[in-house]
Amino acid sequence: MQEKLTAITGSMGYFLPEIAIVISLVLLLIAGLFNAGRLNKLYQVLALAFLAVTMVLVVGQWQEVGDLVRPLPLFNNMVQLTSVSVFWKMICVLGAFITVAMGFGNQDFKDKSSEYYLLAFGVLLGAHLLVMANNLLTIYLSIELLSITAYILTSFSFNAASKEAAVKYLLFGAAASGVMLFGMSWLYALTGTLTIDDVQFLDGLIKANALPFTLAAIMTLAGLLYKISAAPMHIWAPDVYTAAPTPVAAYFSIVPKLAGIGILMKWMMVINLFGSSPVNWTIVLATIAMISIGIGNFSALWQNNVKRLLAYSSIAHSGFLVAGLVAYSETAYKAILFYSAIYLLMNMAAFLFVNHAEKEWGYTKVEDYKGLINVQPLLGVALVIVMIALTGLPPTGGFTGKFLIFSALWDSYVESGNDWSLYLLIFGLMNTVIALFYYLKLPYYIIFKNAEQKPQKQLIFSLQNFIGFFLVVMILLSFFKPDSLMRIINSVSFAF
Amino acid sequence: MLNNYLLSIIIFLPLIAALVVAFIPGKFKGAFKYIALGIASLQVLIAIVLLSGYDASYAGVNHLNEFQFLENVPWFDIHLSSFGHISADYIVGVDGLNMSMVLLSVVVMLIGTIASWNIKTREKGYFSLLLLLNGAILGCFLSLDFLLFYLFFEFMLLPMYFLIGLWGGVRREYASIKFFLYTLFGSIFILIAMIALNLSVVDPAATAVEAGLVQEGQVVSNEIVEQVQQSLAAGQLSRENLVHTFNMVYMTDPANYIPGSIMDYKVMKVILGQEGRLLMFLLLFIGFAIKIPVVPLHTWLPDAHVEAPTPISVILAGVLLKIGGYGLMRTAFMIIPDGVGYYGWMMGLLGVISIIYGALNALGSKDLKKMIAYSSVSHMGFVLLGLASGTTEGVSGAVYQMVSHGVISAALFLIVGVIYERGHDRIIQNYSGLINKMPRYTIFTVIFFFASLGLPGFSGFIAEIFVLLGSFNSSVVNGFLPKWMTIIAALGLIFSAAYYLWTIQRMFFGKFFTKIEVSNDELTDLNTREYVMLVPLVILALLMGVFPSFLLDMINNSIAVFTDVIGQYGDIIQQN
Repeated sequence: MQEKLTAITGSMGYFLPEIAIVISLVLLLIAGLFNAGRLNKLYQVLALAFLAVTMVLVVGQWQEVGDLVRPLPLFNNMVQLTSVSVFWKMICVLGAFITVAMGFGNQDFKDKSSEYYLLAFGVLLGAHLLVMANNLLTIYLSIELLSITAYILTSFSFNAASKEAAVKYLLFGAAASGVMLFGMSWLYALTGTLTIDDVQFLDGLIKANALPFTLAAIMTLAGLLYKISAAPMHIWAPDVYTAAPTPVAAYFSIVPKLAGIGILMKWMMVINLFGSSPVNWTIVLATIAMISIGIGNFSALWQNNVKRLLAYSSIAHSGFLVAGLVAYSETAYKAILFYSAIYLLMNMAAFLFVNHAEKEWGYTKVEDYKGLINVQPLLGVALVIVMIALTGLPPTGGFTGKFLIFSALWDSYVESGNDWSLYLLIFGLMNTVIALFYYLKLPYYIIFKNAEQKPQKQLIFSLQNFIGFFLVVMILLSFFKPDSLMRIINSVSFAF
Repeated sequence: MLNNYLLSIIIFLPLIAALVVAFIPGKFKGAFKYIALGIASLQVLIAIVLLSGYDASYAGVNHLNEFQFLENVPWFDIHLSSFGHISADYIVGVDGLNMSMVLLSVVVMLIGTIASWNIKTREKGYFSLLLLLNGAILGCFLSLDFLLFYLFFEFMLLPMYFLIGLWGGVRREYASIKFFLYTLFGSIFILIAMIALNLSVVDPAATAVEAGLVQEGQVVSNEIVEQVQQSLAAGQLSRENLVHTFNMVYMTDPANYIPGSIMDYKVMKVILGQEGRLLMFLLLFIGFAIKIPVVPLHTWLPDAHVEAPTPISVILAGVLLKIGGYGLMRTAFMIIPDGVGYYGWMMGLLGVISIIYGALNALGSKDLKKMIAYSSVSHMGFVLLGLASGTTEGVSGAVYQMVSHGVISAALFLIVGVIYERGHDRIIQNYSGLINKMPRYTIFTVIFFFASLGLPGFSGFIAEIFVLLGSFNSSVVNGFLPKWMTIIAALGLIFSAAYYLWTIQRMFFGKFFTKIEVSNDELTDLNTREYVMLVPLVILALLMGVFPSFLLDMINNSIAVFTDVIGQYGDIIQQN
């Protein structure tokens, strides 16, 4: 008992960002008790300030883990602090920061404002725990934390569609976590432990019969795929993205998804059992990646609603991230980190501008963007660049990200003769052409069509657009100078 | 001092000007065309300086130190743990392969800018896109780093897409998206090959630094480079220290290939039932063939040309198509010379098909612009045939044809623009006896039609003769192409004579009448601006036809190295 307590108190020092999130959450809850409605501004400022503090703490942790050789077990190895997990935490906090900034100055949530922010912090806490998780139970709990807060956030448009989407999300989510929990229980039965990097866990799986092991691992995988909205567990995404408030949709496209990728990377290393797995996971993952890319791109072709289009695009991007898992090497994992960081930039930029257009001019459909370039040239050009980045064309970071993933796939094909890497490479590249077709839709309307009713010429200088333009510059810079981002990623080490 | 950065200046001058134009308030819209004209003229001046400093005795091609006006600056270096480094450099330089292309592009861009004088809608967008296109084209011709090349190659698409799609004819949107998708599809193939090459080739100098053989910042001597290459071949270098490069000149050296990689010379890796190197050659070929364009990948071209505004057609035919031919030479042919012999027969056949099919289509075209567009397909077929022959005459002829076609087709599209501007119609049958109304216009048309059909004394004749000679010789020299291909290709000359002469007869001779609503005083003869554009092109076409040695001297040394490299592999294939 004494030992456990000292372990817990000893771990606290490495848990500062999460503690900060919890304290912020509680403070927001208390602040929410006072005269809601009128204090919206205060909550927004508070939320941004808390996130800034969290960011500082996470960056501090980043410098701390610099000299970590092995993962640092915390709380009796329920969670682990590694350089990778801190990297993901930085991404998540950044995503949360931009999300909160996106809603800055809005009065959308009326008297529910403080709840909105505390739920957003709940998602963030779940994401933080998920990327650090080292135990099936922690994985499950943090996914639940992430999901339940997300269900409520979905309904924050306060209309019928958003409630319907929230219920759909809840039902799918409940089913997915049920399946995952069932899979985990099998894994426990097979190994007798829940700690995933434990020797006992790996030993148990190596000795286990191939069939139950495969089924259990796939069931667990299903829950994670659901979080990253990869096919075939993607069905909730379009509805939720469309119906939820735009900042929330942006949040969902980044934080839960990238945290999910973070834990998936770890999970793949575990169930590969250092190469002695009886199952060839690359086939499974390659199939998932191909279906995700295919479904995402082909469905996006027919979309008129911008947020729905972005939802399908985010499904396709999940496919590309999973493609990195197929290549399965240190290079590939670093390529995933790079891609994720770029994905954060470009998706957030896209949502920032879409949110601006929706709030200021009521744009929801692609056709609404007609002739935007004539009225708001700067915004129009920025959106075009973002769309080019999402397609994966130079000179944007989107190209560099895809380039690294494809390089990793080529390399995996050459080095390990993995045919699926090659098929996936070809499939992914061909899909870029299809993707161009729908990503160009927005620039097409912005530039080629003339608007019947033009929005008034007005200043577009707001905090949101400022962040958006900053992100666009970063997208371009990450193409011309990818080494600076790569240097950050290179301080991450994987235990291959 | 400035001399060392001439190439960067010629590339970035228009790019910076494009930004300037984009930020000048719209009320100064009268100034945009003068800015564009000023930049294009400056580029011509810079090109003249380049030409005067250019020493044709250096071959370049596969020796980095033989490139002139070389600028070599590290761009980025990504370290990917066990995989090694991925590094790209900003390398621009000229040799015999791209010098002529640079000269051609600055001339055509200047003509294209003058042709844009009549653009009256959204000038700001038009001229900033035109300048962007200008910079991207030159960047494409001058880059010696594959990633840089690819960047400019892709970057060309966007301005072109908007220029056709916004200022084009009735079906402009269809034509522009078709152009974009075709070329992007092609560039995906190029991307695959580029990644494969990057994975397979190391930068020996940078690898020496990483492996600790030399201190950082020190000059890497040739001995060290050889030492690195030897240990690379022996597999003694740790993977982590390898610096993967995009440098296209390093890619031409077999010693820089990592043993066991996709593109390895010695142990051919089989991918999807085909040897890796050959497959990559095929991918590069498809990618650039779309750009040339080669039948059956040409269908975007007639649409794009018919819908594009005149100046854009001029640039498209005059310069953009050449990027296909040049790209093929610089990448596929030089990096994977073993593929030339293997696919030579197929490429020759496609070239011949393009010549004949393009000519027949031109013969059947009712629209004058479509006819010229198909004649481009036909004439670019000679480029492919010449390249596929792998002989000195053939390759020289191909390069000559690219320059000659650049000049002549630019003029031909201007000529179409003249009649379209006046009559708002391009259907050949709707005009007759134009010589009575527009005698000077008729003279220029006839001159360029004859130049294009290969009349001796004009540049096209020299180019086509060289190509035919080269492809005929090929069966003796290296056995790439059978003799019958040359014979059929020669038939293409007869067809092109047929469609040009028939058009002259229908449109210009006979009694004057038009089937369109046009008042008599609208069909005026050429104005000064049109003379300014057409006269220099006539002079160029004539000069190149009478003094071929000027251009040939410039490219000879490089072409000799080029064919030598291909020949070495041709011999190996013949022996097998």
